[in-house]
Amino acid sequence: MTAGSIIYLEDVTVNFDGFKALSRLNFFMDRRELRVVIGPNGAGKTTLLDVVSGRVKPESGRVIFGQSTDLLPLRENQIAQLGIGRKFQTPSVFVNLTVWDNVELSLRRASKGVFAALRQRDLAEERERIAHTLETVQLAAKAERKAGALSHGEKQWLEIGMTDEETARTGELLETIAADRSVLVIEHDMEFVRQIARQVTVLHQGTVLCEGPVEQVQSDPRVLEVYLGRRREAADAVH
Amino acid sequence: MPKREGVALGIVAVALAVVLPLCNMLPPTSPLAVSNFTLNLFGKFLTYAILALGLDLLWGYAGVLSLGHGVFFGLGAYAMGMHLMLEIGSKSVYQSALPDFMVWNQVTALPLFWQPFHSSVFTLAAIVLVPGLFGLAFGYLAFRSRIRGVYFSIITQALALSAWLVFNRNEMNLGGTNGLADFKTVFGFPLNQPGTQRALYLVTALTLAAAYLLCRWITLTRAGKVIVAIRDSETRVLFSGYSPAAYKLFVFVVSAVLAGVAGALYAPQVGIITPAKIGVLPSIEMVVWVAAGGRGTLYGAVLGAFGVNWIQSWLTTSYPDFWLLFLGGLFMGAVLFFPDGIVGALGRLGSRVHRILTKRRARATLDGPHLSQATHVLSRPPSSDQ
Repeated sequence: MTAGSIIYLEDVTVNFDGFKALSRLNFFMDRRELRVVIGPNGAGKTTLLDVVSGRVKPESGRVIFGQSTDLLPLRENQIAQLGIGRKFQTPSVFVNLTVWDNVELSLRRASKGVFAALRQRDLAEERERIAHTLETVQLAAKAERKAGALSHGEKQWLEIGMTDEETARTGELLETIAADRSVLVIEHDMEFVRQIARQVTVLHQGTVLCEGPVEQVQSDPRVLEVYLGRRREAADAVH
Repeated sequence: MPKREGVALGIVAVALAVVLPLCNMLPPTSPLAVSNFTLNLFGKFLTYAILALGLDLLWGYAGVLSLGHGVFFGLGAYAMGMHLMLEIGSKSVYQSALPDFMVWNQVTALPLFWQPFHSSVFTLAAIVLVPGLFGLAFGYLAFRSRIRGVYFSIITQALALSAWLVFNRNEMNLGGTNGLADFKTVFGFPLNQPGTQRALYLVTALTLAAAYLLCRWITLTRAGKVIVAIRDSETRVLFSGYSPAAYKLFVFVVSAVLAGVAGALYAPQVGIITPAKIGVLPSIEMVVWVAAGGRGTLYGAVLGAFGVNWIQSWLTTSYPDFWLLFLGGLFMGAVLFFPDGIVGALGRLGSRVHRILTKRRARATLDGPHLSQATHVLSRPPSSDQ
């Protein structure tokens, strides 16, 4: 089966009071792809994620999920219900709820409306899924503890478990995660990018500067100029 | 519900809804007698407690601070008050079928929006629906526009101010500054009879118990967890697939309805409702009850509403100048020293006493006669000498 694209952005422009965070951006990702997006500060990396997850609505352009789901009219919670999970840079968990409740709230359900939530009872099958997720992120022993009492690293794991409990089930590494889902990573650490990336997209001033395998991108003179520019200047200074 | 809370709730409910009214029926000479005045005062406190429950659900659980709940209280109280005014009929001072204030204002016919309040069924529905629908409309607009935090609080305060201004106007035909008063009967029962007041008190106590169970039930469902989650991280709630706006709106409407019901029970027991109960100041006082009692526990809100108002009624009669200072001090104290209220402070005190007691018991077993003097000294925890 040919996978087809999972996320497709066409001509997307995001305008923050005159500052174009994204400028006629074209970007697409295949199903089951692990894509890393890099770029200097202000290149539009986070805005790209904001557009995909519905936090920011572009001024113009199209954002399509899967075959034909238009994401533009949807709110963040509706997009999350489609299966697009988002993990934040700083851990974001519900500190006043137990670890167990944190995972419970993030399970995918048919309805997440108020009146459904007032009636829903815990199902045995759901309890199993929660327990399994906690097992995988190694927090089973702390299930009844408040999430606020966890260490920074434990919170990160909890949030990975929440972003997609399936994720936590399959394994720890992003690569294994990408085996049966599509992952879009924003990363600054070039060493890490080299380790995990197959396909890298470099953003600069709101548009795609270049795209390709990590080695090719690293040797692209335009990338060196805008992104690794400082390093080259430093090297020049030594000579 | 935790078993201990259930037992405590049962005891308090019996004390308030059974023992107190029974003591009120004793002859005044009996040492256990509760005077009509006291019972009536308690009835007023209980209406405040109903309101405080809703406010705690909104503020303590969902983290949404409303500085305008006096408005919803007022809507319920005025809905009830309008019916009570019409019940007076021609027994009023001017012996007109119109309420007295309309006669003063030379209003010749009953305004159209007063007409349906002749019906007691309509009135009972209005007590729930008017604050509920108003809360729904206001909350929908505010939460949909993602107004949150301090901005939401400021807007609710503006709401309280504007509602106060509106209710003060004579053109509104709601009695202006003097409000609605001189009620004679409630659903046909004379208000000056102790029996009627006792029944009103009983209804209030039972309503409070029902409101408590409703709020506790909400907090124990999955929706209750989502509500707490909103207080922690609204963004995470959103990206977990829930709509925080819908949940906040739900809690806001529940708290508005509880405030309205509280107001409706307040009007016949106190005998008057004026715009002074609606404005900014009373709305902030309501927040102080919850803050002083302890947020996010429900029972803290009930305790706070009861306690603060009891102290108020004592201070305003014994030391009238001192009351506002006390109220201000209480709020500052709650912010600076006991952010989790009386309930939280007592809880901390309790666990400290418990720690000291268990420590002492542990030491007492070590202090047995068979132990040498050296062990005795060593076994002392370092902090016990301070």
